[in-house]
Amino acid sequence: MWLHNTELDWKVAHDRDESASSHGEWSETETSPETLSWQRWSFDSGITSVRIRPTLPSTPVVVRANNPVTIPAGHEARFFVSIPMVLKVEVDRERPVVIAEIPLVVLSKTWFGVPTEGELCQVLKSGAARTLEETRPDPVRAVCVLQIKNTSTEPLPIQKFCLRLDYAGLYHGKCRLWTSAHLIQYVGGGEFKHAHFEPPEKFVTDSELVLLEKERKSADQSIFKKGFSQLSNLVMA
Amino acid sequence: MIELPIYFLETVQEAGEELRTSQPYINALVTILIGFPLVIVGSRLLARLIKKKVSEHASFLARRLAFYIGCIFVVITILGNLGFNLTAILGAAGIISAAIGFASSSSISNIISGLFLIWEKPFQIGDAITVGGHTGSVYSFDLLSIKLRTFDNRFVRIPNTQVLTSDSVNITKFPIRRLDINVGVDYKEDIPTVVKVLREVADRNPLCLDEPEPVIIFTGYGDSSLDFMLGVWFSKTDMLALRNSIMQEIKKSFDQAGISIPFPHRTLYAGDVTKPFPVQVIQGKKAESDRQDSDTTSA
Repeated sequence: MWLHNTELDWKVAHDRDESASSHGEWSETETSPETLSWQRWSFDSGITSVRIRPTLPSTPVVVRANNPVTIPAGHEARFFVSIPMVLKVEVDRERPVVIAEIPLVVLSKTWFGVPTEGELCQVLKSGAARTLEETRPDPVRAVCVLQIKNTSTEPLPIQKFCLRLDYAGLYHGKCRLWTSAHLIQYVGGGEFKHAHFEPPEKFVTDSELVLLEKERKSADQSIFKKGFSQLSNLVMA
Repeated sequence: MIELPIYFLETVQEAGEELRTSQPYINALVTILIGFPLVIVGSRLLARLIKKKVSEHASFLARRLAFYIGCIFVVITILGNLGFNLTAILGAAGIISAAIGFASSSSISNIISGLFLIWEKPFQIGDAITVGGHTGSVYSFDLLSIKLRTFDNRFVRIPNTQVLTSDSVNITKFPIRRLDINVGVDYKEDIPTVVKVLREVADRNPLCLDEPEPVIIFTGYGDSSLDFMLGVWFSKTDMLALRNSIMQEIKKSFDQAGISIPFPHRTLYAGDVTKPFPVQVIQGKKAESDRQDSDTTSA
């Protein structure tokens, strides 16, 4: 990523190098390639402060269970999903302006629903793990804990689910990044309730959790307020 | 001394008489000056008010309807101001309407077709549609016709009757679409390898939707090639970007995998009666020198 600051303007550009092995380093002298496509921002006064921090993707992410799983009636299952971060570039500390959001991993698009009705999402090909140990610590990924409780009298088969991470916060732990935990309760007949996000403290062993980034959308607009017909789209068998 | 006030009074009286005579015209003028702008502003305001609650198409129709009703109301008011007998006018209007109706049956047909289209809602303003061989986005939807803006920025007017009676395709009705690409490979190529390469191309392209899955069909034995169809799903906004990128990627991946895309082949033979005749392809310069050599030898 290249940032360029003149008296009243900021310019930002980025490029991808799939062969790069390290996670990059800060340099104030590096010259930028000529092929870059710059995005330019103009301000009415000189701004010199810039802040770069991780955030969660704004579009929903569809995750497949590494192996299709069925949750028997009365049981609950926990999944661990490794979510690639988005780099957020903000200028001006007093009135922050986001000048770029750059995904660190480019995810493919996917459609969650039927071809006539549904939601455009991104797809995570790494899948959902059943234990935390299966997700290796990665500085550019955050772990999302998903807990599905089957309170119905019927088994719940799960192949994939959709995580709406704009309702989740981002936390910094001792050795990993974490998102809010996502809790869903299945009540039978294709209906879900109590779908909500909450801080991940009680699901993780990491004791030093610090909130890095609040959720993009507040709880009053959350999926919890939406109808059950939409909630039923959270998990697809 | 007495004549002046009398003259003044007469003048005032005449002016009052003139004012009384011209009052209806003044009223009509005021109605025109206030009424029509009010109708225009009112209809726009109505459209703006309901825009957030209903579709763009519905707000457009509401605006037009409010405008037409307002105009009729203003015209009736003006005619009333001018002292016309509205009952007689409406009676005459009925007769004239019937006469005009017979004379302009196609217009009436278009209006009725327009009402059916409003009720059926096959498309809305902004949708990309194909009607009667014309493809473009719906620019406006009026009483007599719909107007399209084609992708090369031409304006096409299509009567409502034609829209109602002919096949129309709404390209952007659903949020996702499938792009079908037909591709042929040489007969010598290995079919599973071709399928694998095509699948990898679809998987690599970030604009191709992962779900619904890409479709790869071996469609048949062509004249010169084994024919395949690659169908990839995409979000309707990504059409051009996907088409450009995936066509290039197919060619590049085929080149890397050593898969050739053939040009049409023709095999000529002379049949059973005579033996096949030999054909030798020779280079231009070499042929010229060979010909000169043979001339020298024979000389």
